[in-house]
This record gives sequence, structure tokens and C-alpha cells, in this order.
Amino acid sequence: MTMSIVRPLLATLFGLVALAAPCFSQSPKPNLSEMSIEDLMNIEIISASRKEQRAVDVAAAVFVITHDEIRRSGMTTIPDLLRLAPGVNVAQINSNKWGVSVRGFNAMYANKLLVLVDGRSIYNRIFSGVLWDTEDLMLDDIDRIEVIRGPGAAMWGANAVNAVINIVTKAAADTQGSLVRVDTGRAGEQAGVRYGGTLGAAQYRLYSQWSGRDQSLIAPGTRANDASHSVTTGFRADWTTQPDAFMVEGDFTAGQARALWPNLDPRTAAREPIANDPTDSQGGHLLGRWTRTRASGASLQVQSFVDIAGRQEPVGDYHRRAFDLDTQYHTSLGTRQDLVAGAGYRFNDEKFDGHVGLSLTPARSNSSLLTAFLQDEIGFLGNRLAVAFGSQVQYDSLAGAGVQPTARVIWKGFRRQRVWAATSRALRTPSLRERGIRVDFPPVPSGNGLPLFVSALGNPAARTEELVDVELGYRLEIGRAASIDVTGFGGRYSNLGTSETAAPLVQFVPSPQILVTSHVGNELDATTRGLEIAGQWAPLLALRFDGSYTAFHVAPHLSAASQDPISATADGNAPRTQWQLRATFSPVTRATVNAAMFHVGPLGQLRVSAYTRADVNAEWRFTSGLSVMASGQNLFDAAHAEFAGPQSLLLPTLVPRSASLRLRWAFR
Amino acid sequence: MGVSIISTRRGRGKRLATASVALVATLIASSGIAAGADVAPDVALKAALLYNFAKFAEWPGLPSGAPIAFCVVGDEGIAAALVQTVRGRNINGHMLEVARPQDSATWRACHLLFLADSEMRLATAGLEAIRALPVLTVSDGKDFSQAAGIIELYVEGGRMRFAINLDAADRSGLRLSSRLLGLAKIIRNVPPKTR
Repeated sequence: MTMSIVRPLLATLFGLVALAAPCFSQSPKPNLSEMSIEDLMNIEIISASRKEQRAVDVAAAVFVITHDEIRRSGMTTIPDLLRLAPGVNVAQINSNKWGVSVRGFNAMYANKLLVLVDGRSIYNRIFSGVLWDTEDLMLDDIDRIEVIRGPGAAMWGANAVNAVINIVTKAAADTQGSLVRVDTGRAGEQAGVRYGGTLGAAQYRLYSQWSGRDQSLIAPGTRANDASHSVTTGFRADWTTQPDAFMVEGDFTAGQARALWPNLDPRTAAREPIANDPTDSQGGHLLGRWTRTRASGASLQVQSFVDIAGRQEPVGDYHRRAFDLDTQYHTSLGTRQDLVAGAGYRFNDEKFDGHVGLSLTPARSNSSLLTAFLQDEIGFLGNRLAVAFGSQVQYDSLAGAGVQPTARVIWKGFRRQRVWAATSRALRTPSLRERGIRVDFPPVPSGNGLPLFVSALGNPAARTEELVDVELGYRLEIGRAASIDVTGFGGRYSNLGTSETAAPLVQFVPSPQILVTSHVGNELDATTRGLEIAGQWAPLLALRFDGSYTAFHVAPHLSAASQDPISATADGNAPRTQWQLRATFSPVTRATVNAAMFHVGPLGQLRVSAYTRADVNAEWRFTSGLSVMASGQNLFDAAHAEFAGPQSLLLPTLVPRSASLRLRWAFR
Repeated sequence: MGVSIISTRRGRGKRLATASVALVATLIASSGIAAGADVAPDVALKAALLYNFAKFAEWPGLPSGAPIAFCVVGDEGIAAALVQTVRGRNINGHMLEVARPQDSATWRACHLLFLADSEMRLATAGLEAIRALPVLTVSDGKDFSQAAGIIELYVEGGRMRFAINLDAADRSGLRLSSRLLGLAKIIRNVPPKTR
């Protein structure tokens, strides 16, 4: 598609959606009360006048990405799906790597975001981040993605500083029968099969998926040789024997990804400054959960998982084994109190063997983490006012003890409005990388002829970062089919990581050279403030609009002793504003058209320009189980940059425009 | 680790898109779509389903001529839609009434009780009290079946569906027609998904 066709076509599509809608509303409305149940159940609903109901009464900034939204978005990766929520910063770094964060501080390994899949943390302690390229879930199996912005520490533990993202998969009972899904296009391919059945009182599903991501671009027209592919195979089984319910799930993923790395080998760096070696990753997990519910509604849940991963990157080899045991008890006390309490234990065994130029000290570390939390919500004034106090305490064998309290209040007295406020404290414990990494860059010629050696070191005394924040929220239902959700927040961060550079040293042994070393410091404090507005409007059963606007500002306060001038102007690697507008329309029962626009403001310090992403797709359903979807993504620009800079040890590339075709066939 | 910055081309395309978005918004605001619909579409759908549930349920010992009481708690939209739906209608000769009870002690007088999701968590005690009484409890809240509710409304694949907790139905003494059961997802006391 040439540029001159794309933009007018897009504008026309948005226009069509709007223009067609009035025609639709003027056709005779079906009299629902005269229809049979069977017919009522056949009506296609794209809109629900309210989303996940529970989210309305929660004293926190919650956004739920539903299964239907995932299906209609046409997106094939989880980082892309997270763009649908307000306040989430998603920056694609290369074809298979993303930086995802919430409320700022984005990086390839963004360390203030906790991500869980069915309650299992996929946050890595060594990298202090999420390895998105190894998360290869079948999107059809995702029931919802809960994005809870703000410190979730009181429930979820440390490192849930800016947000918690909880990816919840469907119960096996909801994925019965066979499913085949094939996706092919310019950005990549995906093929998946799934079978769900029953065995006695248990339901199960087995699935396997192959994903390939095609190369992105270094410059328009020049490919980056950063393709990747992976295979995932997994299962889930659920069974219930009153009053107990059990769930077991597991998967195994293996893949290979290429990226553009700086060559750290001094012997070849001058000749080949960029290396293109592949990264191999393997990993698997097994998770089991037992829930017992009493007749009173109280429930006890015990969950345990083991997680094993290996990753062979050009910079080094990484191995991890983790074991986790978690319990949670939920009960109501009387008619006004709701109590949740729990305790957990996690054991991590991690090892990193660096290759030339990169090492971790100590190369291997075992850590244990003990946590306990309690949250009590009390209703006043006939349950119109709910006040919740909670706290989590933890003992980390590497970082010591910490307490993360929270206080929340919500007023539910108005029928169509909710007002809530919260204040919390959250901690981020230093990663093994921050404590003990050593990177030695190959020498480069300096201004006065002597070779310059730069080394970046960790700091065994790296400190825990802290956030204390205040949030204020307001929800309003407008008329019958629209709602708006506003959250304002202000936070104060302490001990944020910096890169302290010592004065250059001239050394004469073994030969004249200049040495510059930097080490990790915690000399940055910062205050942040922001606004997140999300709205939805569903004027018809078959027409729906969603939109959001996010504003964010960071004011850094660098300590006078710091030698990290860059951090003096830190902006969190997040745009000051971003917004999105999405529309879904089903002109006839068999067809749905979706259009979405995402605008991300510029990243000042990284000098990445603003960009607007436009996605359009159309789905045609031949039968209730067979459908075809054609989609276009990133339609505005042939290629654009979303990230830059040294937050990762690899070279960011450009995100290209792409189109794809998807076939989905579900049958029994 | 070089910084490669390719500035994206701004210009006509983006202004055009922004203008079309503004156009869309104006068109919709002025087309009166919102004014055209009295009731939000899925609210009307839920009210129609509630009416149908009552059509396919039997309350033992309900005297002929006695009215069937629909109670709606916590959702004025559905209450209003239900009033419109039942106007002038009857089920097997029974007149239909819609009430909005504030006090859970009066729930036992309801034949069909709809609880909005926002009321679910605090309704445990009230639901306990009517567990063995012939009250058809319905909600659109997630996991209503574990709170001892009988019918849970949910959306799947873009369509309204409902799940019936057979154990709760048996306990209440209600009889649900096989036609209703055939269309429902049958649940037997599934405990909650927490976290």
C-alpha cells in the first residue's frame, strides 16, 4: 500500500463507521421482550454498558482488557495488547523485544512493573524485568488481562511498584473442543492448535503454538536481521470435588531470537562493532492450585509453582530455577468487613556466566523471600463508604526486611458515581545485575590518542528504591451506555538507580590508557504526577468506542553528590502525553470492523519522536466457529522508532508497517 | 549501542486523521444516536432475559392469581428496563411486578431477585437467608454461582449467555424447565477464582 492511499483510506474508514451508525439506528429496533430466549442469545453484543463490574467498586486504578477486546484488537503479542490500557507505556525495541512500564521508568527491563500469569510472577530478579520474548501464550486462552496501576505492593509484594499486570487464562471448561488458528503476515506468523476435553470430573486443554516474528528495519528499506521464532506446548486441567477445586497447568517454551548487539569482544570489536548472534531460550513451569470454599463464602487458596529457564545470549548464559508457595485466605467478618490475608515463600536459584566483556559477581545466587500480607476492608454508613487498610511485610535474604502499607477509601453513596482515594508505599529491591554486573567495553580511541576503556560496574551496596504515592479516582456512568474513569496520582520516589561515573584515570600499565568506570548508585529522587482518563461509549449493541488519555510528568531531584549528569534531566523514558481512540462496529451479524489509533508523545531524553499508530482490521464469520480476519498495523508510517538509547545492551530498530491475515476455526 | 533516530514524517496524513476523528465525534454527537435509544442495548437484553427466566421457572405453591415479583437490587437501569418489558404482560395468568427492595430481609418475598455485581460481595448474608427458599437469584457479576446464586449472566464470544448452578436451584425448591437448562452452562458449586 502506498502512503498516498493509506491515510485517506483510514480517514474514510473512521468516517464510514460513524456515518453508517445513524443508518443502523434508524432501522426498526427489535422488540427484545417478544423474542425467544434462543434469539436473545444470538444477538451479537460488542458493547456492554459497563465493563468488568467488580472494577467499578475497587479503590484502585483498574483497567480490564477483556477476551473480546483481545480478539477484536487483531494484535498478536502481549506487549501490544497492553497498549489498550491507559497509563501503560509500551515501546517496541526490536522485532521481538519490548519495553513495557506503567507511569514511567520504561526500559527493556523495566523494573517497576510486576507481571503475573495466573498468579505466577514472570518478573526476573537478575534482569529486574520481564522477558517478553519468552511469553508465548495462546491469546485465545486468555480470559482477561487486569492492569492495576499504582503500588500493588500490599497484595502482591515488592517490585509491584508502579503497577501489577495480571494475565488470567480461561478455565479448561471454557476452552472445550478443538481450535486451529493461523496468522500470517509481514510482521510474523503464528500457528496454534488446541484441544479441550473432559476426563471424568475434570476438564483439560492441551495446546501447542509456533510463533515467528519477522525482521524489523534499521532504516526504511534496510532489514535488521532480528527475526525470532519459538514453540510453546502446554496444558491446563481443572476439576472440582466439593468443596475443593483444583487446577494444574504447565508449559514448555523454546525459541531463538536475533538482535543487534554491541560487540564486546576487544579482539573483533574494531572490525565488527555490531554482532548479530542469536539468543536461545528454553523454559517451562508447572503450577498447581487448590481452593476450598466454605458455605459462608470464605475461601482458602494454596498455590505452588516451579519455574525453570535458561537463556543463552551473546553476552552470557543465564539459568534460573524458582519455587514458590503461596497461600491466601479470604473471608467476610459480619456484614461490614472483608478480610484477605496470606503468606508466601519463594526460592530463587539464579546463575549468570558472562562471556567476553560481561560478568556477574557472584555468578550464582540463591535467595529466599518470605512474605505475609493482610488487607481489611470495612463498610460504614450502610456500606456506602468502604475503608481498607492493608500491609505486606517481607523478608528478602538479599535485601532485608520491608513493610509496604496501603490505605484506601471509596465512596459508593452515589448511584452512578464512585470516588476513591489511596495512599501506599512500595519498594523495589535491587536486582542481582545492579549489585554485581561488570561490563567492559572494547577500547575506543579518545581525543588525545590514548585508548579509552569504559567499564560499568554494579554496586553490592545498591539500595532498595522506595515509592510513596497518593491517588485519587472518580468514575461516572453517563446516561445508559457511556462511562468515564479518571485517576490522578502523585508519587515520590527515593533511591532511584543512577550511573555514577568517576573521574577518568590515566593508567600506564600495561600500556598508556584512559580508564572511565561507572558504578550503580541510588542518588536520584523524583516526584511524579499524572492523570489517566479512560472512557467508553456504546450507543448501540453493535457499535462501541473506547478511548483514553494519559498525562505524565517527572521532576527529578538528583543529589548534589551524584556524578550522573544525565539523571539530572531524567524524564522516566515515558511520553508526557499519550492517547488512544478505538472503534468497533458490526454492520451485519457476520462482520466486525475495528479501527484504533494510538498516539505516543516524544521521549525527550532519549530523543525519540512522537508517533501515531493506526491499526485497522475486519473480521468475517462464516459460521460461529470459523472466521477470517484481515488486519493492518502501524499503517501511518513505513517505519518509526519507539525507543532508543542505552537502557538495554542491544540496538533498537524501527517498527515497520505490516498487514496480516488470520484464520480461526473452532469446532467440536 | 548507538542511538538511531529516524524522525517520523508528520504532515498531511496525521492532520487528516485527526480531522477525521473530530468529524466522527461531531457526527455522532449531532446524529442523536444517544437520544434514540431509551435503554442501553445490553441492559434491555438482560431485562428481556430476566422476563424469559421467569417464563420457564415454576414456583411451587404459587397460588393462581398471585403476582410474580421481580426484585432488582443495585441496578436502576435494569429495573427501569424490566418495568418496560413486563408492562401489560403476564406469565401463565400471574401479573408481573417490579420492586427495588432496599432491605435484604424482604428478599424472601421476591420470586426472581436480580443482584447487580456491585451488590454481590455484601449480599452473602442475604443470599444465605434465602438459599432454601424458592427465590430465583440472578446476577451479572462474575462467579455469582459461588455466592450460592442460581443464574449468572455473562458475555461470551460477543453473545449473552447464562450459567445455572443446579445445586443452588435444587436447594431453593424451584423447578426450571428443561428448555432453560438446555440453553445454559450447568455449574455445580464451582469455588471462586481468587486473585
